[in-house]
Amino acid sequence: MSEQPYKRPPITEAVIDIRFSEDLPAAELEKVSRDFASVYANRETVKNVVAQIGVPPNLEAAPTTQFNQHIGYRLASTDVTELLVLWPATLIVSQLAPYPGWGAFFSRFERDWTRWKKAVGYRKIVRVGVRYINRIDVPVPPEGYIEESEYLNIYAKYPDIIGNVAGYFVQFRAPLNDIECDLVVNSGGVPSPLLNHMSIMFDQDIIMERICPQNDDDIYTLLKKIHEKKNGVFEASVTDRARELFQQ
Amino acid sequence: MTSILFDRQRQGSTSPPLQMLKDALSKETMNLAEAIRTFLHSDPSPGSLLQEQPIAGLMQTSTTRTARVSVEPSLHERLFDALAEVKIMTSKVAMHLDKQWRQKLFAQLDSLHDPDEWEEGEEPLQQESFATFLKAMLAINPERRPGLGLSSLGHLIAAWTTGSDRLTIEFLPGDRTRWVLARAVSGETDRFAGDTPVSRLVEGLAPYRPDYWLRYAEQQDHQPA
Amino acid sequence: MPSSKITNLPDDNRVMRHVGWNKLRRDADNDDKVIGFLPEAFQLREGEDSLSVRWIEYYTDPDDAARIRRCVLEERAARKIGAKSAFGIGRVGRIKQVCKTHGASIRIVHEPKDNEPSHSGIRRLPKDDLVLLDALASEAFTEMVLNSDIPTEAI
Repeated sequence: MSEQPYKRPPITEAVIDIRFSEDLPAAELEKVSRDFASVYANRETVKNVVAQIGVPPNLEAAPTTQFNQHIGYRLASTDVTELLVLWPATLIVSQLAPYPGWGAFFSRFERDWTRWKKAVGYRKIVRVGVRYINRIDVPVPPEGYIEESEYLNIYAKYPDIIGNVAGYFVQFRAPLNDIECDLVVNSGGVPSPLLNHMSIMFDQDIIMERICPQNDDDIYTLLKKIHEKKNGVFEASVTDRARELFQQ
Repeated sequence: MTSILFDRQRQGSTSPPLQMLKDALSKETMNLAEAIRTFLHSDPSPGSLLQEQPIAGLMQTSTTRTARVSVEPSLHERLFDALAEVKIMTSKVAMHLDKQWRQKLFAQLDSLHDPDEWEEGEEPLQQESFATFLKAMLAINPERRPGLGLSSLGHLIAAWTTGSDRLTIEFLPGDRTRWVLARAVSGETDRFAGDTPVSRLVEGLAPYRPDYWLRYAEQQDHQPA
Repeated sequence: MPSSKITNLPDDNRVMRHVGWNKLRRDADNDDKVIGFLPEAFQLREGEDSLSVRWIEYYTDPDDAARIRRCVLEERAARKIGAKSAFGIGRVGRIKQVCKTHGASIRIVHEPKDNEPSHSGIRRLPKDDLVLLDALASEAFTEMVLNSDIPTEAI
């Protein structure tokens, strides 16, 4: 299959994320984030705060609160389409639209992964994920509604007695045993950024947590397998009518 | 039925708050409903700084927020943040934009947020104004790109000029636009102004032959309105 | 030298309005060349009740270019202005006529401030009349001086 078969691919974001078993110390994370200054125009510090409030049943005791926070770094290209996000236990390479194709996206991941490894050395990987978020923008027909089944083969099915619905959301998780990964699909109607359009989101996340690769060759091989599987799932999920929209 | 769009902003607005039903429903049902609610509000994009995670149980609430570290942003940070946000917004519709058009747009936006030209008391480009602008540009699809400006309130302004004739549109929050056009007719200037939702901007401008400004071919056929 | 009390500016005198880069009208087909002023350049901000301008004939230099330069330098001394900004110049009588045509009866008065002796204000200007603002931008403030064309020198 051609790397970029569509004139207007509906991809809004593509993400490769690698998670590690342990946090990188804060000082080391800060230093490695600076190592990327030559390849990303912008770098900013971000804070992730998790607040937990525990309320005992019947308020038998006073509520408790707990705050945990992590410092991370977000690096971005000048046009903010190429992103690298570094957390103590996660590396995320993200590509916003326009999607340049798998070749360019994967090359950037290789570059950033190599630079990361050079800076921090080996760290045990516990999760590898590839996520593609698509948005299918459909012009509103004269009748004022669309049949999602005309654009996607994944949709909510309900009896005729319900009639037209104002919105829907579908999520499922399925094992992909041939590549020993799990697939999570989210799909549903979303507000459209275009006038006179309706939009359907199709988000697939393919995750490896069972037996994570630990060396570069195995990581790259896995990512390529996931990419091929992702393409297969996508092509099986969209209809020819949707494909026509991607070619306009 | 005019739409089957799922509007996240309205989701839950007509149903009773979940906590009011907790005594009528099982803990498992409440956990499931809450997990779905928080999941539907999750923004999966690392491009955004907002992330939410499903809560652990009925009586515990865990919320995650990702935010900038600095509390009092400098001017440079304010301008950078504003630019970054609208560039991310543009990426959401980048598949519908010509690459060169997008690059030129970014250059214009960068120029409007030059710290060396920034005046005290001005507001950077507001996201809601830019959202209105994007909708308008995708609907109008002008051949001629506009010159851009910025109001003191951070509203984007698009301006087309043909000789002494001018079309100026200000993009307001809430999907609204204000516009004024001026055309020379027999030595006098006719001016028309409007305040319309962006969904009716094309319709609102139609009586004044906006293609005269928006399309190259129309300029060669200079006819008064 | 005019007296220190607030006075209406004579109709045959001129005023100058500073316009920042973001409110200059540009031609995107021509490398964003500056070609005029946006209507918003003459819009009152929140909380303002008069539009700030400078009275060119406040300065009595025989050379007109010198009078304009003194006004520009006064503006630069009063606040930070960008190198790519510009100044719109209009005749008082013409500004009043344009406003009157669009239903606005304005006054242009001398409002000197500390270290800003030529400071003046256009009062009773409608806040959100886009048609009037467009007319001011194109028919009233008809002359443009680029900030970059005025060399730096002390008053």
